[in-house]
Amino acid sequence: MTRIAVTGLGAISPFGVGVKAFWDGLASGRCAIQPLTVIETDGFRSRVGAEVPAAYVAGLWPSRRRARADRFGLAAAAEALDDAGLSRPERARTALVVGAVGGGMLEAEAWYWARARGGAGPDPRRALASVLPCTHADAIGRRLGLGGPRETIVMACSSGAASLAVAADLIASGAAPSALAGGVDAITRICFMGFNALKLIDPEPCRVFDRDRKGMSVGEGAAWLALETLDHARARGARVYAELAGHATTTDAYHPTAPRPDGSGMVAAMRTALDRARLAARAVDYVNAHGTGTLQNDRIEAQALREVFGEGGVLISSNKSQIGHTMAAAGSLEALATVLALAYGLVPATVNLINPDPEIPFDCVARTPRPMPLEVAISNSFGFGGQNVTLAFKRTGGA
Amino acid sequence: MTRVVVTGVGIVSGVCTGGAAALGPALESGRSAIGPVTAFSTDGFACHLAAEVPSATLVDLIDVSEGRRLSRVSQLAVTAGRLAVRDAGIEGHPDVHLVVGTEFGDLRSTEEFAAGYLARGVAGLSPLAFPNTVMNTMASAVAIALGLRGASITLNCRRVPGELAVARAVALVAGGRAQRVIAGGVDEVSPLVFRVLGGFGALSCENGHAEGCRPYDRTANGAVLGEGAAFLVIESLDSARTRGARALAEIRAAAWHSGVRTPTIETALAAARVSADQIAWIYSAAPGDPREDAAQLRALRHSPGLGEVALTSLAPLAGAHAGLGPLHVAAATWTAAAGWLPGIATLAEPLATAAVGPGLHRVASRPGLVHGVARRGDQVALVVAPV
Repeated sequence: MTRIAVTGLGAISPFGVGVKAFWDGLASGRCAIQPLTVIETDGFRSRVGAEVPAAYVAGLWPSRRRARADRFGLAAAAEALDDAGLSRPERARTALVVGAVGGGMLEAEAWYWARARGGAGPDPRRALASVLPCTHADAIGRRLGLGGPRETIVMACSSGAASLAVAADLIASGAAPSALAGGVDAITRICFMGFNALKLIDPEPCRVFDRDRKGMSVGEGAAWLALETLDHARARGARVYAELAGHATTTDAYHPTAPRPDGSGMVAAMRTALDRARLAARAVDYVNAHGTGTLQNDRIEAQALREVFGEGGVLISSNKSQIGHTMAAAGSLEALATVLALAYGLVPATVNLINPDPEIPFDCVARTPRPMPLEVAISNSFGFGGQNVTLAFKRTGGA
Repeated sequence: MTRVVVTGVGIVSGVCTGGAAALGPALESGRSAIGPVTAFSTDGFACHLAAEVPSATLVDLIDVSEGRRLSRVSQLAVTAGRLAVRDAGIEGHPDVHLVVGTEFGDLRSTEEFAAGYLARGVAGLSPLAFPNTVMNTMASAVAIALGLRGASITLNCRRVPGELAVARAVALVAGGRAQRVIAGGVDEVSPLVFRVLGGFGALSCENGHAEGCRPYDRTANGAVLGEGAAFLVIESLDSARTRGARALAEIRAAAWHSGVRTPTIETALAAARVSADQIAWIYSAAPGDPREDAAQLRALRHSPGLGEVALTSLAPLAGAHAGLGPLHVAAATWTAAAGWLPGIATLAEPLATAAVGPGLHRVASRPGLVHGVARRGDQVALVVAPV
């Protein structure tokens, strides 16, 4: 069995630029959900979300041709590659697997909105240049010299996690010695409007696992993990943050937006990932839950966790309570949080959790992060279309 | 090493609709589906041609409930998926994975969703339409319709998403992650894509040469959009033999990289243990856009020994869309078995000596290549051989 090591990290998040800002934000127990400024919110039931602060965005790979999401992706990717210390020749063989959903839709919307209202709007060649999700991979690959296999995975809210699973398989198959994988998304009007239309957005900052929760909050960002075989990492003396010991992807085949009520797809993802990692459920110290704050997701995820770990059998928390639901970036930002939790021995909190839901019978690390040594943790990501991804990480040393 | 074979085909296109048996006659006839766009008016547009799927095709194959619930591009995908599992004899098997390639997703629904808001504000937003704005909506519809519980992956890239989906499926089976995968591509001709690409000069239009799809021809002046879905059932040879399934052809290897000058073809050939001089034919993603066609040739010439291998493209029949790559793979299984290569239906003034003109051409019973590259993006190579 090929062992996959995590050797580089990069992030842009509502807490700011870089992995340190991301971790400092998580470790502080702050909530980055605030009134939205990048899109119009008049008439919607919610007006809040977790944006990457404007003060930081201005400095990210500025270019009139690049979409906001491209700039997030590039900045975080550059950080992860530098952190991994991959040389230029090594980068030329490195695979790139990008989880994406919105692409440059924010800029395309500006063009479409203006046109529909009879205005001139931005130059369509610029506005539409990045509209496809795959443009992130084109921009990152070309700019950072990644010449290995390249894929853009669109699996809704599990895209970022799925990209890590695909990258691990690419490395294990020998198609590439290393890979940069993760996800990126910017807040878009269509996404915000859509979740509002589905009545899945909480008017207040989301209250994941709380009995009074009313839905999610939108967020944005990017996170990348550099992966390679453990042998390759050791041979070049790379720092190893953690081991991606197993992963699994399943499909509910049930409904376009709702999870299968029995949670069987989620259960199968968790059990298969642990089987592939050769880990028993009791070995898992912490679950970084998908935890969106919607009534259905949180309840069904808890039901699936109960089946795998037993009632209260594992510690769980949700990063979305702090940074909102960052869509395609969620799976990779949360994978990154899981890796850092293992490395630092600190479990991020579920903030805004005041009144625990009795249907979620787990210790959800309410409000305050908790120091504790961790050896094994899993990260769950679930998406529209019933797409379930579980990643299992093992600690391999300090950060 | 796990050997990987194709055991089923499902195609919904203007060229043909059905399983593997439907493809041979379509390739023999060489009939093109390209004609004036009928789904919407092209008055005021720069171009007017596309290879559409006739509306009657879907009416015959999709039930009333699905026709009401699913967007048109999802209907194309569900129908092709259903044809593929029927062709392979795996109906009702839940332990099947799915890989769907698409270039544009369901942009028609995305535009309709946005238009609802712009016309009526918050009240105009359709909660039912919103999931269609995410590109995995077609894969979701196929998984639900066919009850597929394995991984369901949607891949997006320019020009070669269908080829990439097949390559990923081959990797899943070869790597032991899956026994069976339904893989292919789907796109539709939407007014927005047609208008924008036409306006950007990315499609063929009357410019001294007639509007049309003419890959590797001196008169080529742009791609013609196509639509449809083509799916293959990709399976391990052991699995196929165990269940007594027919294997249409073997996919000896798949490789993909980013860029024209990457060693994609060499990697695929090496993995297949096939030398370039053993390759007897090539299906190329050349769409009839001079710059894109030139990129295909540069990539092929980057791999020594392939310069004079018979070269074809089905883009003049089916138009450029995500289903074209899997259609090429399906056609490659036919070529591997029948020993005939359909030529480029519109070729009159070849730019490349290896490009073969209209009609069927006899080729040796040896492995062939399905290849494609996006000018500034991904390159995919698949080695297809008789079983």
